This record gives sequence, C-alpha cells and structure tokens, in this order.
Amino acid sequence: MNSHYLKFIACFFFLAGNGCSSPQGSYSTSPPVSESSPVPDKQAPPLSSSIPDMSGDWEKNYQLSDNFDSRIELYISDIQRSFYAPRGSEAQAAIGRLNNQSISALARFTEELTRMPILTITQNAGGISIERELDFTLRCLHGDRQLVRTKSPFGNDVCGWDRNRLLFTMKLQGGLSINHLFSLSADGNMLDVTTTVSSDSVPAPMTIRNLYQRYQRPAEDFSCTLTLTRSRVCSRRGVPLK
Amino acid sequence: MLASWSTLKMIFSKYIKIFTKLRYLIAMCLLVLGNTVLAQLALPLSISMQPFTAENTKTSDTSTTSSFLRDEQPVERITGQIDESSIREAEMRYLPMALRYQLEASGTFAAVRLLPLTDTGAEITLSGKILQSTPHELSLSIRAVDSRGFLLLDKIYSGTAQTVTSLESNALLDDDFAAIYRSITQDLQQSMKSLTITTRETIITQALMNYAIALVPQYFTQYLDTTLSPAVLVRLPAKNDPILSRIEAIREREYLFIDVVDEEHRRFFNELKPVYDLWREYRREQDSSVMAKVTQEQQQTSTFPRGSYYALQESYQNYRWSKLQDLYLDELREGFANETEPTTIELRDSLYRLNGTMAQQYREWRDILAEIYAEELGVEMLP
Repeated sequence: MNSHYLKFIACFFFLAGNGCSSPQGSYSTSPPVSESSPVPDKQAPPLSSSIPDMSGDWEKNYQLSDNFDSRIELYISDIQRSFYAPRGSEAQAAIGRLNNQSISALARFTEELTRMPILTITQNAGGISIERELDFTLRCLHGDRQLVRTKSPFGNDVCGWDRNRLLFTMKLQGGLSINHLFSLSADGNMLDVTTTVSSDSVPAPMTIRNLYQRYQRPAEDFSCTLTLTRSRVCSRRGVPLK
Repeated sequence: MLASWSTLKMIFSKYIKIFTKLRYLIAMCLLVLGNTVLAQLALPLSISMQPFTAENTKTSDTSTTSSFLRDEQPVERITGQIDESSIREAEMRYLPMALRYQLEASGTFAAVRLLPLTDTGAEITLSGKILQSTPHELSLSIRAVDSRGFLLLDKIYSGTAQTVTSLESNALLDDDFAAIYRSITQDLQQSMKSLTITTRETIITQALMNYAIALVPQYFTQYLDTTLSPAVLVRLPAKNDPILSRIEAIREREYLFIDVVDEEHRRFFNELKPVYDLWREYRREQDSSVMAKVTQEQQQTSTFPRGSYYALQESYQNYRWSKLQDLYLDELREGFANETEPTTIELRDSLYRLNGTMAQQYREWRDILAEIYAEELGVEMLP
C-alpha cells in the first residue's frame, strides 16, 4: 500500500461519502467475474493435446505488467464515474453498499496476492503444478478431464482448462472469490496471469494483469530425493544416492 | 475311625461303579481328544499365502467422489484425498507378511509361506483382500481353504489402530493392527482343532496330488473324475507308491526356490516396516491436525468485520493452510514411494538364469520342474 493508492481511496470517499446511493453498472476496469460456476458450456472443446505447454521457469516482467498504482486509479475512477451515473441505475445502488474499509481491504489484499515474482511450472498429462514464490503451489490434477472441482471446509475451487486458458477459481469463506487465469502467448515466451479478486462486501471486483517471461534458472548442483525415514536426501549431481 | 473308613469306601465304590460303566465313553473321548491334540503336535499343516488383493480405491479418503468426463459435470475431489496406489501396492505384500509372522509365532503351523503365485500344492491356501486400509482402520477379508477344498475360514476382520509399544515384544509382531492378525490366527487355530491325524494325512497327500496334477495334468487324469467341472480327485495313490516319492522329490526342489522367494519377502518386510510405520504415524498426525482445525473453524466465528483486510486474510490463510495440507500429504506419499521402489523384486539364479519379476521367475521355475518331471515319467508335455 503506497501513498498514491491511499490518496485515491480517500479521494473517492470524499466524493462519494458513505451515504451515497446512486448506482451504475460495473466498476471494474476489467470484465466482471461471473457469479455462476465457471464450468464451461456444453460446446467446450474436448481436452486434447492442443493444451499449451506452460512448463518452465517464469519471472515477472514489471514493465509489461499492470502497475498497481495506475490500476487502483482506474478502479477508483470507474467507481467515481458511476457515482455520477443517472440516479436509479444499478451502479448507484451498488455505491450504497460500499464502505471505505472494504474497498481499501480488497485493494491491499489484491496487491499482496498478485506479487508472485517467480513461477515454476511443471506440467504433464496428469495435471499442472504452479509453484509460486511467496505463496502456496497451485495444482490442478485434471487428468483427461477438463475441470476439477475441489471441496474443503475452507473453500471450494474449480481448476482446469477453458480452451487454451488455465483457470483456478476459488470461492472462500467470508464472501471472498479469487480467479487466476493463465494464458500463453502465441510464441510461447510470455505468460499472462490475470487475477480477479472480489468480495461480497465490495460490489466491484478488482483485476490485476501480470506478464511473465521465461528465464533460465541456474542448474542446481544437488539432486534431492524425498524420503520418509531420512527426510530429504541430497547428492551431488552425477553421484548416485546410497 | 472304622465308621468313617467304611463310609469313604462306600462312596468310592459308588464312583468306581459309575466310572466302570462309563469307561468306554471316557476312553473314546480321550482318544478323540488325544488324537486331535496329538495331530496338532505331530502333523502340523503348512499355509501358503499370496499377496493380498485390494478394493479398487485410488484414494485414502472415504468421502464420496464423483467424476465426470468433459462436457458433463466437473470431477469432484475432497481436499485431503490423495492417490495412494503406490501405498496400496506395497500393502498387498506387506500386510500378508505381517499376518504371516503372527501365524508363525503361534507355533501351530508347519510353515507359512508367501508366494508370488498360487501354490498348487498348498495344504492350506490363505487368501486375503484389503477392503479398507487407512492409518486408523483396517478391514481385511480372509479366506482359508484346505487342499480338499474344505473351507476353514471365511470372515471379514476389521479393527482400529492401537499403538502398543512393549520392550519385550517381537519387533516383527509389533503392529498397530496386531489384534486383527491375532484374531485371524486364533480363528484358524480353532477351525483346525477338529482335524484328526487321518484328516491331516489326507490333506497332506491331497496337496501333493494337487501339485502333481498341476505339474503334469495328462498323467494324473486317472485319479480325476473329469466328468465334473472342475475335475475332482476321486482316488489317491498308495502311500508307498513310487510316483508319490517322485512328486515329493520335485516338490523339494521347488522349496529351494521358495526359500529364495521367502528371503526376498522377509527383506522387503524388514525394509518397509519402518517406512510404513512412519507413514501411518504421519498420516494420523495430519488427520488429527485437520480435524482440530475444522472443528475450531466450525465452533468459532471470525472476530474480524466481514470484508475487512484481516477477514480476507483469515479466509485466505485458512484456505492456504488446507492446500498446504494436501501438498504435505502428497509429499508423504512421494517419500513413501521413493523408499519402497522398486516394488517388483528381481531374483537371479545363475544355474537357470531366471529373469524378470518374482512372479515371472516362479512361473518359469515351475515350467522347468514340470519338464524335468515329464522326462522322468516319459510323457509329453502339453504345449
């Protein structure tokens, strides 16, 4: 959270106030997330060998990625515009439900969630694993299926392929929803990671788009094997484990 | 003094008369009882086991899982489910070995063997199916049949894990589910108590005949009623029949191979035991940790205002925690698989140059024995 971002939040609430009740459409600068389940329609193409190969090491390209400050400016501007929208519109009604703390919370949370400077992706026919620096590994063991839904007491999620895009959708406790959408550029050198975060306390979801480029990770001198009795056993490359 | 002596004499004579009348009955009872007790001591039977089979379960979780193909409903997984096929595969040989040590320790049986294939010459064949195996519960379906085809045991054994550590206990018998193995042993002992010496002799001879029939079937059709399906043994060769002696000699050669197989299975069990025990322990710890977390979440509501930064963080951290638990489970499974591979045991015999897995080599060894035997009898081997 920097001063720029806080300034815009304050600016918005100065204009809108807490008692505002004029509405309009979506405040998101990106397409809003559908509330329905992200299960693809019946016409969705079958999962095939045409799935893009995202495996490899990726580093964030800060130049091409969304600048969080600019993003938040746009986000706030959209909400401001909606404030001036004709009375009685949906957006005006939504404004009424806003409160400054929720907007600020969502923005701060989204900023932290989308840092992910390095991604390491491993992929095979059984699924895909996205190791994220600063966060847990996203895994989707889809096998020959298009989508996989997982349930837990802490939230439900759906992952899988929607045509050429890999999606992870999480519906968590407290009305929090997170969507990660991974898509590969035509030449396979850039990875687009679009993250949309929404909260039921804030009518407008926030979307951040980050771009990653491939990089060559230096080769490790050790190869390690995980065991139960001896934990991780490592050996110098080329020297067999005893 | 005299009066009391005569009273005692009267009482004794009364009992002596009763005893005289019942002496034949008592003698008969002692004979039968003695026979079975003696039989157990003098003619213990051998047990042949095969690796257990398992229910077709890929995951350890008992929650329902629905699956779908594309264009239908999405496949559903419950968090905490992991692919345990590598563990199940190891259990198929590990659990019979644990049972085998219990059977051996009972001292009731001549030999207890675990073979890669069905032992055609088994006196008692014990087969098992893993119905459920979690670190908390084990359910086995056990069936024991003697060489005549008589059912000795057919029962489902279930139990919960009981961690018992004793300084005096035999490390090989020390198992969280030892109570299940003890129950199986006791039931088998019980059903064998009724077998007299004659019955046991028949079982042993029939086992040998079964072995010979499997080895060179075309020669032994004379002993079979082939009008029945499957063919039934209708008569036995005489005890001093030279054919039986030859079969016994061949059988002895097979035991040489079985000893090697047995040694491999012992090594497998000894190597796997610490890993498997650790796996169960970690899984139990992980399960109780998840249970505690879920209960805690269900019992208390968030103290943070809905939509606040801390409420969002709390929600995400809980979810993150559950995902990390899944990853941890997967690491456990990976660690288990790394330490138990390869799951197929290779044997090498310089004389016959046997190759392949244990089951393949056992099959090959049997073919060699069959050829030797056919040559001795001067019969053509069936293709």
